[in-house]
Amino acid sequence: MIKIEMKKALGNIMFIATLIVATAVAVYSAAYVIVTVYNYAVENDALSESIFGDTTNPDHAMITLFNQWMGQEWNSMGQSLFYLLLPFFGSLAYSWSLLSERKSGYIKHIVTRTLRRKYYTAKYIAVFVAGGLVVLIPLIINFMVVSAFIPATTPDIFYDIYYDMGPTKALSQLFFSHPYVFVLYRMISAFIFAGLFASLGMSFSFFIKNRFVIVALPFLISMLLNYIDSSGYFKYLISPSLFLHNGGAALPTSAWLMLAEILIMFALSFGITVVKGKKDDVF
Amino acid sequence: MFFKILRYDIKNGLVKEYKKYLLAAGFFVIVGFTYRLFLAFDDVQTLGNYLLYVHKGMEEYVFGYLNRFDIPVIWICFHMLAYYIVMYYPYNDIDGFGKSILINSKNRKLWFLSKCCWVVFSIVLYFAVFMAVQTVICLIFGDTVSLDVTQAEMYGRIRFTVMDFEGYPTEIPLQLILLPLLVCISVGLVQLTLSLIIKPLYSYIVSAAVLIVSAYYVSPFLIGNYAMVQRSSMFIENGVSTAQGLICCGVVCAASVIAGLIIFNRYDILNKE
Repeated sequence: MIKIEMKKALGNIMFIATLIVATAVAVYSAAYVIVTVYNYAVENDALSESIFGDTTNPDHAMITLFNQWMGQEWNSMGQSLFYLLLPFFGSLAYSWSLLSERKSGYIKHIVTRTLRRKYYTAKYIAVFVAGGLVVLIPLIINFMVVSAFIPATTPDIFYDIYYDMGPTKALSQLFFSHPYVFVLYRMISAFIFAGLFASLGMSFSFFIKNRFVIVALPFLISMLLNYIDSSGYFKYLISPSLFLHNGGAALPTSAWLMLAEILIMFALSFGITVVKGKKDDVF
Repeated sequence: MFFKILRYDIKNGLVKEYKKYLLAAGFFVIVGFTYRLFLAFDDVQTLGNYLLYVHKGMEEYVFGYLNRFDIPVIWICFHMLAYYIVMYYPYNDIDGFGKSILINSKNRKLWFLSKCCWVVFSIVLYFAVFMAVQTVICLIFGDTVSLDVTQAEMYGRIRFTVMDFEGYPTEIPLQLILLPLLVCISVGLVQLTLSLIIKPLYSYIVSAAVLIVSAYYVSPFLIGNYAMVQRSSMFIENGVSTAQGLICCGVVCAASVIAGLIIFNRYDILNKE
């Protein structure tokens, strides 16, 4: 059942179209960063040469792969757009499928031939994975493109103002000691949250009969959380669109808060799916 | 026939969709109270101050490795909620009962024009709900119900780069109400036209992209700039003027409607999923 659902999830046109759009945004962000770095390097060298007659400190640690890829930089509009729309991308991929199958009557054929538990579990996994992949793949592509042009200089603590990874940021020590592991953490957390937004959207299918609302609702919830963060209600960032990358507001982030949000979103989405799925009358 | 179709759209697209406006009203209540209780600069407040808080936007972004590009969250939330409200009704309608209406009316242009009018009415109603909620919150706190902005708020919230700024900018009411309304209507019509070519959900992404690009660059060709009070030429040197805004919105609205009429003339209404 999982194999069938995964095939449907990863082969459908909405997943592919959303992946293309998200990848285009990620590649644009990479291109912007690369061109900016190149222009800066040329100007900086020319300026140094005109003042000092020779190039001086090249400040290699100021601009490195680890603070110029999309999950860590804060200058391009591509990263702003990508993370603002992250819940939307996740939901667009496959979260509408449960409602679509209920409306078409396909679910009746499945539920009469297999256990409900198997179907809903497979559906949940497929929606989660599709939603996560539609965000993870562009992040990987962005990282690969940027790494082809900007050197992977290990972050230097003396250049910390260029990274904004102070002690108030979650797992900031990892950023300096094991930057590749930190990149992995950023990508996996984006994957998880995008998948959870997609699953949340899918769980709304039991209450809402409009697929546009199902896809847009996680995004609207995210916008509300963005607003709450911008108003300074809380000491830490609570909106995934802001704390999943370094381009969000310059407020502290907490790994424990992220974990708590993951658990709450999982409990809500999976709980609704299990409880309503068991009792829901598909006829 | 046009008015019959319009009446149908108002009944089914506005009256029956009241839940979306309730959602918007709930959001405006949160925004209004948050501003008044935590973010106002002083106790002397006016309705104009509330509107300035929402429509201020952001300063011009100047690239620098230490300059963070922070999106103007409240401004984006306000506009994205408006575009969500007008996102899917036309698409759902053509998929449902609207198909029969279109066939019986025997005139595709009237159907599309009715949808354009529906977009305009929806956004005007959205703004009316916004104004009503902020006015009520004003009255609750005993603030002045006036579109004037206090000096404290204006100088505290707006960053000035014009050297010859004097007195009180008389165009402020236009900046606070008319231009954001026209920009919303323009982008809503663009979204409607685009939803004929790509799905409504993707046209929503395009609307978001337009807003983000407008926030990033100050340019008279980026329509989102006209909806930001901060980007006005009254306050910043290379800002956008009200006259430019009116012309730009007019051109975008006209182009969207004309393009939509042409596209919808050949639109396959039967081949829907």
